[in-house]
Amino acid sequence: MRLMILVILDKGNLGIIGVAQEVMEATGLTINALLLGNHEGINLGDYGVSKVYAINGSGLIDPAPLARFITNNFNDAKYIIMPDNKVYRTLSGYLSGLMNIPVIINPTDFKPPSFKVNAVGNRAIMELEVQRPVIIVAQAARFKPKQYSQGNKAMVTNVSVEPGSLKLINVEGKSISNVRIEEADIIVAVGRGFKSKDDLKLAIDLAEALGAQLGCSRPLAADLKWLSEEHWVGLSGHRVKPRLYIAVGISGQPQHLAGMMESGVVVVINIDKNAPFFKYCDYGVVEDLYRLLPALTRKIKERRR
Amino acid sequence: MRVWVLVKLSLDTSQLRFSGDRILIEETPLRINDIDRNAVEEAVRLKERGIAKQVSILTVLKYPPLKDRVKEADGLIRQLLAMGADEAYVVADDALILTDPMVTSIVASEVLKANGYDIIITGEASIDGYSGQVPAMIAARLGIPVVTYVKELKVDNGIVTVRRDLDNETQVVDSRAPLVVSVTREINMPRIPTVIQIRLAIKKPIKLLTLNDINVRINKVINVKGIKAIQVSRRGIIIDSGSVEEKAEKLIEYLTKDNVLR
Repeated sequence: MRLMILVILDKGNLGIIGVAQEVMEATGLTINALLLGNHEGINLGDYGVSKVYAINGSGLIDPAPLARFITNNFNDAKYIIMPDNKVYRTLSGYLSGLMNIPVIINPTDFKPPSFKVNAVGNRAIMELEVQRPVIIVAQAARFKPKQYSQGNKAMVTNVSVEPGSLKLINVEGKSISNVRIEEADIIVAVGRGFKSKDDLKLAIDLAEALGAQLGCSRPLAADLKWLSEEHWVGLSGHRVKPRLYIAVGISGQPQHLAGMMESGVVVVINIDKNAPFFKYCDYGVVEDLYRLLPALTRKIKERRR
Repeated sequence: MRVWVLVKLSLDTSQLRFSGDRILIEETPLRINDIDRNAVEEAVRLKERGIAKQVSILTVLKYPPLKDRVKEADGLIRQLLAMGADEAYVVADDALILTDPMVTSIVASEVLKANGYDIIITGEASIDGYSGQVPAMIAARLGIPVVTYVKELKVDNGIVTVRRDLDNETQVVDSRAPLVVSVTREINMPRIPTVIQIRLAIKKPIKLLTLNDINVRINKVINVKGIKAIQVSRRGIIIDSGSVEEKAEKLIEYLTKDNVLR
């Protein structure tokens, strides 16, 4: 059986090819790509992909038909690689179930057949070995694919997939701003210690004085919706690693901590001296944020003059 | 309808015990995966609306030491029975210790096949593993559809309508049972059982199963070679005395020394 690497992607996350390239360099296997949606103007040949299968249209509402298509046509894939988002994570699970192969999520290090992944709520690194074929889900934005050569045309085949059994009734867009909190250098993160949405002004002022991005804990984005989800730091929000992380009025639930563990210097500001977050900080200020933030902002501005 | 809730008894990541770079898994308590409480709540509501006839809980134990964990599981699962679930199945076997989500899905699918199912509800992911793979894995193994990241669920005339919360959009999707649904924390507010409900839950059945009982043999496909704690040493300097001005001053002084202010 000829083995190969299959990378599944769409226009929005071409970075994932970087993962396929690393696996190709480690194993010598060739890369095939399954390109979903509009693929005009993309030549994956430049990135070392030999064959491209283009699937037009159909958003991935039901992962089942695509998973069946992959199972039937790419039985010889040793590594199936796809980007990390909620839609692909549903596909990866379904594919695992059909193909009876495991899934590795966000490996931090991979030298097939060895992988390292974060585990136990991001508090540990687990070293794994997988001899069988495996599905790898990774964050596309963390990788930069190499252009091996210009004008190397990959063979493109158009394929189609049957519709699934789920019926899409409606789609509502989410407001997407330009916040890219994963890349922020400094973050001022806010939590339930703020009594109203208007009070966030105090943190926004501090963030401006510091040249920081605004982050938040789960309730502010998911329940109260004071900030959009791009600001949400945590296990189910975004994972961040700024040089300086200032948490204001956040108690420090493990799910939040898991999203900011990799930060450089961590400052915690909370009126409650028993807030669990104080155990995971470099500097903790026990004070009412309503009094401390204005003073802090003023002093930082003065310092810059 | 027969409704199942898949629950993970996670390691309580807020109470992890360490020794150097080792995580003392055996000494860390278990905790009901938070989002699975929302799954139980949603199932119980289906029962209250007359849609679900029976609500069953299923959990697969993953952490050692098995004997103690079975006892610990009993106490935790009782809380979910007190919320209104009817019965629970706990699969406990040495061969399942520290296995990956695929193994969970194999075991769960077999229990579901043996007992029958209409709607299978579970949390979007667990607080310790956080892979979110099990719902779709089970759906594939049972050959039924899956809708993930659901923040609203309605069942009307056999049609299951959900609102899915994805990264860039919200989808409203129709489906039919049988299906697997993974829910987010926003879907509801899990109830806190009353003292009477807790007392009544003592009589509800919890069935303990081994791999032999369900006729499953596990071939480990992922070999765990080691688990090391991520060690982040934080200085833990607490500024709790002085006036507000002095505290702000002190903090800026530290941050300047660390060279993290621009």
